Amino acid sequence: MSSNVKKHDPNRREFLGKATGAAATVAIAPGVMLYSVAHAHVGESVKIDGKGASSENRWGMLIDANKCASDCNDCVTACHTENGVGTNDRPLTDPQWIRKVDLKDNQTGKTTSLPVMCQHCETPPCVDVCPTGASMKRADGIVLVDKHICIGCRYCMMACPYKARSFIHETITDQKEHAPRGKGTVESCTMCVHRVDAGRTTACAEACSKAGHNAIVFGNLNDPNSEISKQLREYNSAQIRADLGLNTGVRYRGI
Amino acid sequence: MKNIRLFFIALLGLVFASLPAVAENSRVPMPEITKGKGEQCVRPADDMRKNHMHYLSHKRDKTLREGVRTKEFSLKECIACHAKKDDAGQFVSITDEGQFCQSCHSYASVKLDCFECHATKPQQGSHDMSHSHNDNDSVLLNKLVQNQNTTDN
Repeated sequence: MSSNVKKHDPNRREFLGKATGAAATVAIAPGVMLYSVAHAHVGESVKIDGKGASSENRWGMLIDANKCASDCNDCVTACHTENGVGTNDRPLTDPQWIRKVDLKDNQTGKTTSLPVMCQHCETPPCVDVCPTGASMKRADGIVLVDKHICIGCRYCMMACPYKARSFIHETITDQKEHAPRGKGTVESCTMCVHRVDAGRTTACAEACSKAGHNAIVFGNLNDPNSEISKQLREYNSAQIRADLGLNTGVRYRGI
Repeated sequence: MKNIRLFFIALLGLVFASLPAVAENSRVPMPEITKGKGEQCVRPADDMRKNHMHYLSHKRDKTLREGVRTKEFSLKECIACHAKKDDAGQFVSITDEGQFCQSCHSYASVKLDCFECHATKPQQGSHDMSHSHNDNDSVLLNKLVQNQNTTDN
Protein backbone atom coordinates (compact mmCIF):
# COMPACT_ATOMS: atom_id res chain seq x y z
CA MET A 1 0.00 0.00 0.00
CA SER A 2 1.42 3.34 -0.91
CA SER A 3 1.98 5.60 2.04
CA ASN A 4 1.31 8.88 0.26
CA VAL A 5 -2.42 8.25 -0.16
CA LYS A 6 -4.22 11.30 1.11
CA LYS A 7 -6.16 10.25 4.15
CA HIS A 8 -9.83 11.19 4.19
CA ASP A 9 -10.64 13.21 7.25
CA PRO A 10 -14.21 12.45 8.32
CA ASN A 11 -14.01 15.00 11.15
CA ARG A 12 -14.12 17.92 8.76
CA ARG A 13 -17.52 16.91 7.56
CA GLU A 14 -18.67 16.14 11.10
CA PHE A 15 -17.51 19.55 12.22
CA LEU A 16 -19.50 21.28 9.51
CA GLY A 17 -22.56 19.18 10.36
CA LYS A 18 -22.31 20.04 14.04
CA ALA A 19 -21.72 23.70 13.34
CA THR A 20 -24.88 24.02 11.24
CA GLY A 21 -26.77 21.90 13.78
CA ALA A 22 -25.79 24.20 16.62
CA ALA A 23 -26.78 27.27 14.61
CA ALA A 24 -30.17 25.74 13.88
CA THR A 25 -30.77 25.00 17.56
CA VAL A 26 -30.09 28.59 18.51
CA ALA A 27 -32.25 29.97 15.74
CA ILE A 28 -35.30 27.92 16.67
CA ALA A 29 -34.78 28.23 20.39
CA PRO A 30 -38.44 28.98 21.22
CA GLY A 31 -39.48 25.84 19.36
CA VAL A 32 -36.92 23.58 20.98
CA MET A 33 -38.97 22.98 24.09
CA LEU A 34 -41.95 21.96 22.03
CA TYR A 35 -39.84 19.61 19.99
CA SER A 36 -38.31 17.88 22.97
CA VAL A 37 -41.68 17.34 24.62
CA ALA A 38 -43.06 15.78 21.47
CA HIS A 39 -39.95 13.70 21.19
CA ALA A 40 -40.19 12.34 24.71
CA HIS A 41 -43.77 11.34 24.17
CA VAL A 42 -43.04 9.43 21.00
CA GLY A 43 -39.73 7.90 21.90
CA GLU A 44 -39.53 7.44 25.63
CA SER A 45 -39.85 3.69 25.68
CA VAL A 46 -38.34 2.93 22.30
CA LYS A 47 -34.86 2.15 23.51
CA ILE A 48 -35.67 -0.82 25.66
CA ASP A 49 -33.29 -3.51 24.65
CA GLY A 50 -30.23 -1.43 25.11
CA LYS A 51 -27.54 -0.26 22.85
CA GLY A 52 -28.15 -1.00 19.19
CA ALA A 53 -25.17 -0.57 16.88
CA SER A 54 -22.08 0.53 18.75
CA SER A 55 -18.78 1.93 17.53
CA GLU A 56 -17.10 -0.51 19.92
CA ASN A 57 -17.68 -3.04 17.16
CA ARG A 58 -16.63 -2.99 13.57
CA TRP A 59 -18.10 -5.86 11.65
CA GLY A 60 -16.10 -7.35 8.83
CA MET A 61 -15.42 -10.46 6.85
CA LEU A 62 -12.24 -12.20 5.84
CA ILE A 63 -12.56 -14.23 2.66
CA ASP A 64 -9.94 -16.83 1.86
CA ALA A 65 -9.72 -17.12 -1.93
CA ASN A 66 -7.54 -20.23 -1.52
CA LYS A 67 -10.44 -22.07 0.07
CA CYS A 68 -13.12 -20.69 -2.25
CA ALA A 69 -14.13 -23.24 -4.90
CA SER A 70 -14.75 -21.90 -8.39
CA ASP A 71 -17.65 -24.27 -8.99
CA CYS A 72 -19.40 -23.31 -5.75
CA ASN A 73 -22.06 -20.61 -5.68
CA ASP A 74 -23.51 -21.33 -2.25
CA CYS A 75 -22.78 -17.93 -0.72
CA VAL A 76 -24.58 -16.15 -3.55
CA THR A 77 -27.59 -18.45 -3.33
CA ALA A 78 -27.74 -18.18 0.46
CA CYS A 79 -27.50 -14.39 0.37
CA HIS A 80 -30.21 -14.01 -2.20
CA THR A 81 -32.47 -16.51 -0.44
CA GLU A 82 -31.95 -14.86 2.94
CA ASN A 83 -32.75 -11.41 1.64
CA GLY A 84 -35.38 -12.37 -0.91
CA VAL A 85 -33.37 -11.10 -3.87
CA GLY A 86 -35.05 -12.66 -6.88
CA THR A 87 -34.42 -12.56 -10.59
CA ASN A 88 -36.48 -11.42 -13.54
CA ASP A 89 -34.19 -13.30 -15.92
CA ARG A 90 -32.79 -9.99 -17.10
CA PRO A 91 -29.12 -10.19 -16.10
CA LEU A 92 -28.39 -6.58 -17.07
CA THR A 93 -30.85 -5.14 -14.56
CA ASP A 94 -31.32 -7.92 -12.01
CA PRO A 95 -30.21 -6.88 -8.52
CA GLN A 96 -27.07 -8.51 -7.25
CA TRP A 97 -25.92 -8.27 -3.65
CA ILE A 98 -22.98 -10.64 -4.02
CA ARG A 99 -21.31 -12.20 -7.04
CA LYS A 100 -18.59 -14.73 -7.72
CA VAL A 101 -15.58 -13.43 -9.61
CA ASP A 102 -13.14 -15.78 -11.33
CA LEU A 103 -9.66 -14.51 -12.07
CA LYS A 104 -6.96 -16.07 -14.21
CA ASP A 105 -3.31 -15.17 -14.30
CA ASN A 106 -2.52 -15.51 -18.00
CA GLN A 107 1.18 -16.02 -17.39
CA THR A 108 0.91 -18.86 -14.93
CA GLY A 109 -2.60 -20.10 -15.63
CA LYS A 110 -3.44 -19.88 -11.92
CA THR A 111 -7.16 -19.36 -11.38
CA THR A 112 -8.68 -17.71 -8.36
CA SER A 113 -12.33 -17.55 -7.36
CA LEU A 114 -13.78 -15.18 -4.83
CA PRO A 115 -17.09 -13.62 -3.85
CA VAL A 116 -17.37 -9.82 -4.08
CA MET A 117 -20.00 -7.77 -2.29
CA CYS A 118 -20.24 -4.39 -0.59
CA GLN A 119 -16.88 -3.98 1.09
CA HIS A 120 -18.28 -1.89 3.94
CA CYS A 121 -15.61 0.81 3.72
CA GLU A 122 -14.67 2.92 6.70
CA THR A 123 -14.82 5.96 4.41
CA PRO A 124 -17.46 4.92 1.89
CA PRO A 125 -17.58 6.91 -1.36
CA CYS A 126 -21.27 6.03 -1.70
CA VAL A 127 -22.01 7.92 1.53
CA ASP A 128 -19.91 10.88 0.39
CA VAL A 129 -21.87 11.39 -2.82
CA CYS A 130 -25.41 10.70 -1.61
CA PRO A 131 -27.48 13.90 -2.00
CA THR A 132 -30.16 12.92 0.55
CA GLY A 133 -28.23 11.12 3.26
CA ALA A 134 -29.89 7.83 2.41
CA SER A 135 -26.56 6.13 1.89
CA MET A 136 -25.21 5.80 5.41
CA LYS A 137 -22.78 3.97 7.66
CA ARG A 138 -23.87 2.63 11.02
CA ALA A 139 -21.74 3.11 14.10
CA ASP A 140 -20.54 -0.48 13.80
CA GLY A 141 -19.25 0.03 10.26
CA ILE A 142 -22.10 -1.53 8.29
CA VAL A 143 -22.92 0.52 5.20
CA LEU A 144 -26.62 0.65 4.36
CA VAL A 145 -29.17 2.43 2.18
CA ASP A 146 -32.04 4.11 4.02
CA LYS A 147 -34.67 3.37 1.40
CA HIS A 148 -37.14 5.65 3.15
CA ILE A 149 -35.21 8.64 1.83
CA CYS A 150 -33.40 7.15 -1.19
CA ILE A 151 -34.51 8.95 -4.35
CA GLY A 152 -32.92 6.44 -6.70
CA CYS A 153 -30.46 8.86 -8.29
CA ARG A 154 -27.78 6.15 -8.41
CA TYR A 155 -24.84 8.45 -7.68
CA CYS A 156 -23.71 5.89 -5.11
CA MET A 157 -23.65 3.19 -7.74
CA MET A 158 -21.32 5.31 -9.84
CA ALA A 159 -19.14 6.19 -6.86
CA CYS A 160 -18.68 2.63 -5.65
CA PRO A 161 -15.39 1.20 -6.91
CA TYR A 162 -16.63 -2.34 -6.28
CA LYS A 163 -19.84 -2.24 -8.36
CA ALA A 164 -21.54 -3.47 -5.25
CA ARG A 165 -24.87 -1.71 -5.55
CA SER A 166 -27.95 -2.44 -7.62
CA PHE A 167 -30.93 -0.37 -8.59
CA ILE A 168 -34.38 -1.91 -8.38
CA HIS A 169 -36.04 -1.37 -11.73
CA GLU A 170 -39.20 -3.37 -11.25
CA THR A 171 -41.98 -3.68 -8.71
CA ILE A 172 -41.19 -6.25 -6.06
CA THR A 173 -43.68 -8.31 -4.10
CA ASP A 174 -43.20 -10.96 -1.42
CA GLN A 175 -40.23 -9.34 0.24
CA LYS A 176 -38.73 -10.91 3.34
CA GLU A 177 -40.04 -9.18 6.43
CA HIS A 178 -36.48 -8.43 7.63
CA ALA A 179 -35.30 -7.14 4.25
CA PRO A 180 -37.61 -4.44 2.82
CA ARG A 181 -36.87 -3.81 -0.85
CA GLY A 182 -38.69 -1.68 -3.36
CA LYS A 183 -38.71 -0.23 -6.86
CA GLY A 184 -36.83 3.00 -7.40
CA THR A 185 -34.26 2.54 -4.67
CA VAL A 186 -30.67 1.36 -4.56
CA GLU A 187 -29.61 -1.61 -2.48
CA SER A 188 -26.59 -3.71 -1.67
CA CYS A 189 -25.19 -6.23 0.79
CA THR A 190 -26.31 -5.29 4.30
CA MET A 191 -23.85 -7.66 5.94
CA CYS A 192 -27.05 -9.40 7.06
CA VAL A 193 -27.62 -6.59 9.52
CA HIS A 194 -30.78 -8.20 10.88
CA ARG A 195 -28.78 -11.32 11.75
CA VAL A 196 -25.84 -9.36 13.14
CA ASP A 197 -28.16 -7.42 15.44
CA ALA A 198 -29.50 -10.74 16.68
CA GLY A 199 -25.98 -11.96 17.38
CA ARG A 200 -25.74 -14.27 14.38
CA THR A 201 -23.29 -14.57 11.51
CA THR A 202 -23.94 -13.62 7.87
CA ALA A 203 -25.86 -15.90 5.53
CA CYS A 204 -22.91 -16.21 3.11
CA ALA A 205 -20.46 -17.20 5.85
CA GLU A 206 -22.95 -19.71 7.20
CA ALA A 207 -23.52 -21.25 3.77
CA CYS A 208 -19.78 -21.42 3.10
CA SER A 209 -19.19 -23.33 6.33
CA LYS A 210 -22.11 -25.61 5.55
CA ALA A 211 -20.56 -26.40 2.17
CA GLY A 212 -17.37 -27.34 4.01
CA HIS A 213 -15.19 -24.59 2.57
CA ASN A 214 -14.99 -22.27 5.58
CA ALA A 215 -13.66 -19.56 3.27
CA ILE A 216 -15.61 -16.72 4.89
CA VAL A 217 -14.94 -15.63 8.47
CA PHE A 218 -17.31 -13.05 9.88
CA GLY A 219 -16.43 -11.14 13.02
CA ASN A 220 -15.57 -8.02 14.93
CA LEU A 221 -12.45 -6.26 13.63
CA ASN A 222 -12.27 -4.17 16.80
CA ASP A 223 -12.05 -7.18 19.08
CA PRO A 224 -8.43 -8.42 19.16
CA ASN A 225 -9.59 -11.84 20.36
CA SER A 226 -12.10 -12.47 17.58
CA GLU A 227 -11.30 -15.17 15.03
CA ILE A 228 -11.16 -12.64 12.21
CA SER A 229 -8.70 -10.38 14.08
CA LYS A 230 -6.50 -13.35 14.92
CA GLN A 231 -6.39 -14.48 11.30
CA LEU A 232 -5.73 -10.95 10.05
CA ARG A 233 -2.84 -10.70 12.50
CA GLU A 234 -1.42 -14.06 11.54
CA TYR A 235 -1.78 -14.21 7.76
CA ASN A 236 -1.26 -11.90 4.83
CA SER A 237 -4.45 -10.31 3.68
CA ALA A 238 -5.44 -7.63 1.21
CA GLN A 239 -8.16 -5.15 0.43
CA ILE A 240 -9.43 -4.88 -3.11
CA ARG A 241 -8.27 -1.51 -4.46
CA ALA A 242 -6.31 -0.80 -1.29
CA ASP A 243 -4.84 2.16 -3.19
CA LEU A 244 -8.09 4.04 -2.67
CA GLY A 245 -7.47 4.06 1.08
CA LEU A 246 -11.08 3.21 1.93
CA ASN A 247 -10.19 0.78 4.75
CA THR A 248 -12.68 -1.89 3.76
CA GLY A 249 -14.42 -4.12 6.28
CA VAL A 250 -14.21 -7.04 3.86
CA ARG A 251 -10.68 -8.40 3.45
CA TYR A 252 -9.26 -11.17 1.29
CA ARG A 253 -6.58 -13.80 1.62
CA GLY A 254 -4.87 -15.32 -1.39
CA ILE A 255 -5.50 -12.60 -3.95
CA MET B 1 -88.86 32.48 22.72
CA LYS B 2 -88.86 29.29 24.73
CA ASN B 3 -90.52 27.51 21.86
CA ILE B 4 -87.82 28.59 19.45
CA ARG B 5 -85.10 27.29 21.76
CA LEU B 6 -86.90 23.99 22.10
CA PHE B 7 -87.24 23.81 18.33
CA PHE B 8 -83.49 24.25 17.86
CA ILE B 9 -82.68 21.63 20.48
CA ALA B 10 -85.04 19.21 18.77
CA LEU B 11 -83.45 20.02 15.41
CA LEU B 12 -79.98 19.44 16.84
CA GLY B 13 -81.09 16.13 18.32
CA LEU B 14 -82.47 15.09 14.97
CA VAL B 15 -79.19 15.91 13.22
CA PHE B 16 -77.13 13.88 15.72
CA ALA B 17 -79.57 10.99 15.59
CA SER B 18 -79.27 10.80 11.84
CA LEU B 19 -75.44 10.91 11.79
CA PRO B 20 -74.85 7.14 12.11
CA ALA B 21 -77.41 6.62 9.38
CA VAL B 22 -75.43 8.98 7.15
CA ALA B 23 -72.26 6.99 7.81
CA GLU B 24 -74.05 3.72 7.12
CA ASN B 25 -75.53 4.96 3.89
CA SER B 26 -72.29 6.59 2.79
CA ARG B 27 -70.76 5.45 -0.47
CA VAL B 28 -67.54 4.78 1.43
CA PRO B 29 -67.89 1.64 3.53
CA MET B 30 -66.93 1.96 7.20
CA PRO B 31 -63.53 0.42 7.83
CA GLU B 32 -63.48 -2.99 9.39
CA ILE B 33 -61.04 -2.68 12.22
CA THR B 34 -60.06 -6.24 12.87
CA LYS B 35 -58.90 -6.96 16.38
CA GLY B 36 -55.30 -7.99 16.91
CA LYS B 37 -54.22 -11.27 18.43
CA GLY B 38 -53.05 -9.98 21.78
CA GLU B 39 -54.93 -8.58 24.73
CA GLN B 40 -54.19 -4.98 23.87
CA CYS B 41 -52.09 -2.82 21.58
CA VAL B 42 -48.80 -1.21 22.68
CA ARG B 43 -50.78 2.02 23.15
CA PRO B 44 -54.50 2.71 23.63
CA ALA B 45 -56.45 2.40 20.40
CA ASP B 46 -57.37 6.08 20.10
CA ASP B 47 -53.71 7.06 20.52
CA MET B 48 -52.64 4.52 17.93
CA ARG B 49 -55.35 5.67 15.53
CA LYS B 50 -54.02 9.22 15.71
CA ASN B 51 -50.29 8.69 16.11
CA HIS B 52 -49.29 5.32 14.67
CA MET B 53 -47.54 6.93 11.71
CA HIS B 54 -45.34 9.01 14.02
CA TYR B 55 -44.50 6.00 16.16
CA LEU B 56 -43.61 4.03 13.06
CA SER B 57 -41.45 6.66 11.42
CA HIS B 58 -39.58 7.37 14.64
CA LYS B 59 -39.01 3.68 15.14
CA ARG B 60 -37.82 3.14 11.55
CA ASP B 61 -34.96 5.61 11.96
CA LYS B 62 -34.01 4.12 15.30
CA THR B 63 -33.93 0.65 13.82
CA LEU B 64 -32.28 1.31 10.50
CA ARG B 65 -29.74 3.91 11.54
CA GLU B 66 -28.98 2.91 15.12
CA GLY B 67 -29.77 -0.78 15.07
CA VAL B 68 -32.16 -0.54 18.00
CA ARG B 69 -34.51 -3.39 17.31
CA THR B 70 -37.35 -3.42 19.78
CA LYS B 71 -40.73 -4.98 19.30
CA GLU B 72 -42.71 -1.92 20.32
CA PHE B 73 -43.81 0.11 17.28
CA SER B 74 -42.14 -2.37 14.95
CA LEU B 75 -44.09 -2.60 11.69
CA LYS B 76 -43.25 -6.28 11.63
CA GLU B 77 -45.00 -6.73 14.97
CA CYS B 78 -48.05 -4.71 13.86
CA ILE B 79 -48.47 -7.06 10.94
CA ALA B 80 -47.76 -10.17 12.98
CA CYS B 81 -50.55 -9.18 15.34
CA HIS B 82 -53.15 -7.88 12.89
CA ALA B 83 -52.70 -10.19 9.89
CA LYS B 84 -55.55 -12.59 9.28
CA LYS B 85 -55.45 -16.08 7.86
CA ASP B 86 -57.67 -17.34 5.07
CA ASP B 87 -59.56 -20.62 5.06
CA ALA B 88 -56.52 -22.47 3.78
CA GLY B 89 -54.50 -21.25 6.77
CA GLN B 90 -52.38 -18.88 4.71
CA PHE B 91 -51.77 -15.31 5.85
CA VAL B 92 -53.71 -12.67 3.93
CA SER B 93 -51.83 -9.57 2.80
CA ILE B 94 -52.44 -6.61 5.13
CA THR B 95 -53.03 -4.48 2.03
CA ASP B 96 -55.80 -6.69 0.66
CA GLU B 97 -59.38 -5.44 0.56
CA GLY B 98 -60.91 -5.29 4.03
CA GLN B 99 -57.67 -6.02 5.88
CA PHE B 100 -56.42 -4.04 8.84
CA CYS B 101 -54.22 -1.39 7.20
CA GLN B 102 -56.01 -1.21 3.86
CA SER B 103 -59.59 -0.80 5.07
CA CYS B 104 -58.88 2.19 7.30
CA HIS B 105 -56.55 3.88 4.85
CA SER B 106 -59.03 3.59 2.03
CA TYR B 107 -61.76 5.00 4.29
CA ALA B 108 -59.55 7.96 5.19
CA SER B 109 -58.31 8.18 1.60
CA VAL B 110 -54.68 8.17 2.68
CA LYS B 111 -52.14 6.45 0.47
CA LEU B 112 -50.37 3.56 2.14
CA ASP B 113 -46.70 3.72 1.22
CA CYS B 114 -45.04 1.25 3.59
CA PHE B 115 -45.78 -1.81 1.54
CA GLU B 116 -44.04 -0.82 -1.64
CA CYS B 117 -40.98 -2.15 0.18
CA HIS B 118 -42.14 -3.90 3.34
CA ALA B 119 -43.54 -7.40 3.50
CA THR B 120 -47.33 -7.39 3.72
CA LYS B 121 -47.73 -10.58 5.70
CA PRO B 122 -45.84 -12.32 8.48
CA GLN B 123 -43.36 -14.93 7.39
CA GLN B 124 -45.18 -18.22 7.66
CA GLY B 125 -44.00 -20.01 10.79
CA SER B 126 -42.06 -17.15 12.33
CA HIS B 127 -45.03 -15.52 14.03
CA ASP B 128 -47.49 -18.39 14.28
CA MET B 129 -49.30 -19.31 17.45
CA SER B 130 -49.20 -16.30 19.70
CA HIS B 131 -45.74 -15.10 18.81
CA SER B 132 -43.67 -18.23 19.14
CA HIS B 133 -40.45 -16.80 17.78
CA ASN B 134 -37.30 -18.61 16.83
CA ASP B 135 -34.47 -19.01 19.30
CA ASN B 136 -32.73 -15.77 18.50
CA ASP B 137 -35.88 -13.77 18.90
CA SER B 138 -36.48 -15.47 22.23
CA VAL B 139 -33.00 -14.49 23.35
CA LEU B 140 -33.70 -10.90 22.38
CA LEU B 141 -37.07 -11.02 24.06
CA ASN B 142 -35.55 -12.37 27.27
CA LYS B 143 -32.95 -9.64 27.18
CA LEU B 144 -35.71 -7.10 26.68
CA VAL B 145 -37.70 -8.44 29.62
CA GLN B 146 -34.60 -8.49 31.81
CA ASN B 147 -33.82 -4.93 30.90
CA GLN B 148 -37.35 -3.90 31.69
CA ASN B 149 -37.09 -5.63 35.07
CA THR B 150 -33.88 -3.86 35.89
CA THR B 151 -35.32 -0.50 34.95
CA ASP B 152 -38.39 -1.27 37.06
CA ASN B 153 -36.15 -1.90 40.04
